[in-house]
Amino acid sequence: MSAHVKARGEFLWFFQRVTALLLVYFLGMHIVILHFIRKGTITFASVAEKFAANPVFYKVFYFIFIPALLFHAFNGAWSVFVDYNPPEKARKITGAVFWVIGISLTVLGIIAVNSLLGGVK
Amino acid sequence: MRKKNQLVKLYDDFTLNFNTGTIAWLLHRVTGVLLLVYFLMHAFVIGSAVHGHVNFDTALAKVQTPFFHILEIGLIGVIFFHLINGVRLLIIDLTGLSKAHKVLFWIFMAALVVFMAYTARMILTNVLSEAGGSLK
Repeated sequence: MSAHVKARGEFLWFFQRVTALLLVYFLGMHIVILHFIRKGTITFASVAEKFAANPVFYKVFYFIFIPALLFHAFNGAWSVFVDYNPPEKARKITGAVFWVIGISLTVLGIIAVNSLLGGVK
Repeated sequence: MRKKNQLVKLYDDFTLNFNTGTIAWLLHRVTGVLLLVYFLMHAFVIGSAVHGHVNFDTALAKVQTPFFHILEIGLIGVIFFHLINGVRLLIIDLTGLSKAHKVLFWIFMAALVVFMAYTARMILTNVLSEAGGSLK
């Protein structure tokens, strides 16, 4: 095992696999629902209506899906970056920036899902 | 000098000991980066929901033209490659099937071709029926 893989930690390596497995189900379902069984144009009302039919399911679904996807995407991008052997300082800064963007986008995603869930009340 | 060495490394990674795994590795990396770029645009469009339904509908209408629906075929292709090759990596990492990695790659690529033919047909059928036409 090369040094940067060790420094990156086994947790990140393992969690990349765990989120990969989660995404097979969540991203698969997301595509089937929004691309395959789509009827007509997607609007705020059509999504809100779909969510209203199963609010708990969609809430739990996206609250797991969004953070899992963001972790997988930014951890993947970070490991691609680290693979080109940047200086230690650049790794740390990029890692920190990726965490900030990832967490911010998770919050944005959860607020967006909540407003779509709230749109039916 | 460092920068030049890294470019050489990028090239060497691809050409040294070139085999099936090299193609899979490069495509997994390229599709991963493409998906991150797509996801940022997706977050921008869907994130407009926080500003209410009018903004959301305006943003979504822009990306639901026949042109974008046809681009979706490419998007699903990129996602499905990354997904199915990722499953192959999980099988290799977590089970004892690493010796079968090349066979697995070609079996999965055959599955990708079949799946994409089905996807393309379905999306084109939807786009055409919305435009008042038909594939038949």
